Amino acid sequence: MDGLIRQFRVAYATTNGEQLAETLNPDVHAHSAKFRAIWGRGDHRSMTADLNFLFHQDQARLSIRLSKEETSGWYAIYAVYWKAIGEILAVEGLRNDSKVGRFTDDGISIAEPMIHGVPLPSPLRQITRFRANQTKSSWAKVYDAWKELTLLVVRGYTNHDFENWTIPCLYVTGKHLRLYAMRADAERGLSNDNSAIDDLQDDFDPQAEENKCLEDCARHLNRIFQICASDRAPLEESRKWGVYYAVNLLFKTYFKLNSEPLSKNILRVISAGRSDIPPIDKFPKSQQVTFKYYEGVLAFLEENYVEAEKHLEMAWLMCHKDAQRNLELILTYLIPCRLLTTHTLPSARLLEPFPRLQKLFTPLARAIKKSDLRAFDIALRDGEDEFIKRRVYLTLERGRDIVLRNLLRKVFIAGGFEEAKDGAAPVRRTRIPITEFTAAVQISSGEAIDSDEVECLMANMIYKNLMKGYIAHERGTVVLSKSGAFPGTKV
Amino acid sequence: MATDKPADKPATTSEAKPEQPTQQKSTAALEEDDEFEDFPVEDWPAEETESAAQTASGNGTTQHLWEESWDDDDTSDDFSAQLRYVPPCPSHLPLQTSLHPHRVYPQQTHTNTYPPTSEELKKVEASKRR
Repeated sequence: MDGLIRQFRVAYATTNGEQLAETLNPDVHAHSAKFRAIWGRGDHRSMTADLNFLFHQDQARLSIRLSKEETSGWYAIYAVYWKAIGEILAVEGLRNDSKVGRFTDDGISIAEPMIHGVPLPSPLRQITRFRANQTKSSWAKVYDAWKELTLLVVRGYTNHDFENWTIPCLYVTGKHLRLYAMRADAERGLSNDNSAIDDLQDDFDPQAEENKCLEDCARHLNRIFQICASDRAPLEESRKWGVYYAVNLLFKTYFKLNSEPLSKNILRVISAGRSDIPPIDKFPKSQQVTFKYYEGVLAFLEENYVEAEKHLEMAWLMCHKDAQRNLELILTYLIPCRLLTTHTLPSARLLEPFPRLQKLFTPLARAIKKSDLRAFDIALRDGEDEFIKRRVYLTLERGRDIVLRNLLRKVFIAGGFEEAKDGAAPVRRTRIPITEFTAAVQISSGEAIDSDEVECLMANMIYKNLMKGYIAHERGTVVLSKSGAFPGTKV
Repeated sequence: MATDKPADKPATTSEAKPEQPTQQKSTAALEEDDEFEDFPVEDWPAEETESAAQTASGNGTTQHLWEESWDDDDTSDDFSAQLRYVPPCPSHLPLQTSLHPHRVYPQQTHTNTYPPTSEELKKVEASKRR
């Protein structure tokens, strides 16, 4: 505790928010000895005695200027932090005091309460499990303890006059709250697998149950966001500097909970207050990239591909070059975007570092280039599960238009040139029988198709401005534009 | 600062982040998600961005990473010959009713009967008068 508070004082004296937040960073793996020392023997009374001394008697406390309000705020925070550390150490198996383990005091295994090898009848089981939960270390308990801490930190801003330079603390607590919530949910998921029968009651809603902690967490993160966004202090001392940190945490949480509409709400709040929220480019790149990624994906899901491309491209360009997974995620959406907006494909070089993207997109890209409808359909079907999971299926499906465009373009080029009239530059043949297009579609798709359907496809191409010209139905001919029959493709 | 970064970078990004080894193990399923990872560092100089890395290798732009969606190289005479000789609706291929969403069928089944019934004519008359 001594060391921790000393660190706190140094940070406070220099108003270094990052350093202050570091005192609340429960990185037990990197510094397990330090945290074990903080936890000590887990004696609550000696911990409070320590804190009392450090915050109220120690002469060194006078080295920093702390109001009475602030003192009581921080005192409470460190007391709860201590408790949370105990839970974390326990669940990580790093605690060496007596009260922990996978077994309860009376030696009954938690996972399968049994008597003489026979599972207990259900009511008894629940009692046993209830008792077990009282003593067993779990992520759920970590979550609860950390939630308490988060609430106290938030209260620090509402009730204890915490200044805005301390907001990294909000971020650190919020960030870990989310991690612990996910672990608690995963842990419950695992134990439910073992005892699913118990939970199969009429009012049991697996969907809501599955992410119980995370949903709770989302509410607290939202509170953090509000605390930051609603601050009316002048910008230089405003908590608005915490907005994007909170927003990024919220985005991650909402995406996991499949509630993207809530993310849209957040975006709306930000754009409504844009004038007094600091611009995103004043934030560190990690926050910028994360924000741009989610902003892009949200636009993508709304099928606003132009907007999406803008944000995703920005995220991609600014992303750290070694953050492979994040680059991969950005490209997962940027590639389909590009396909629709600028009709460009990723080069082999771009995909090279990402075997997963290669597997997903290379067959499609090849089919598009070769204008092979059949290969395209197969590639789309083969990747279907993954595409749907990544929510790019519907977008990629529209890529079929590009295959078709390329195919029709190929027919146009294969048609060659009209005979040039007295030395004029040769002009491509622009009157093309529909039968040629029909034949092309049949070759490419490997399926029979009648010419009416092909005419219809071509009408759609003209409508979508992928092809310029008109269909002379009575003559069974398509007349293509002499200048730029296929816009943007150099013919 | 700039000197020690490259040293710790590969360790932090290629392997599990030091602070979350257990999460990676216990919740492997989570990694499957769209979850955008936390960066090991908060901020980095412009020369460590993807943009810098890519433009350095591509004459100052990232254009070389994207290519046109069509391929002109394989337009052979073969193809144009094929276009002339494949019959419009070959009998050896079964005519399938494709339900592909991109194909809109031109023939629509008309619900209105022709000639119009006297009932309908009356309605038309009535609407004209109005």
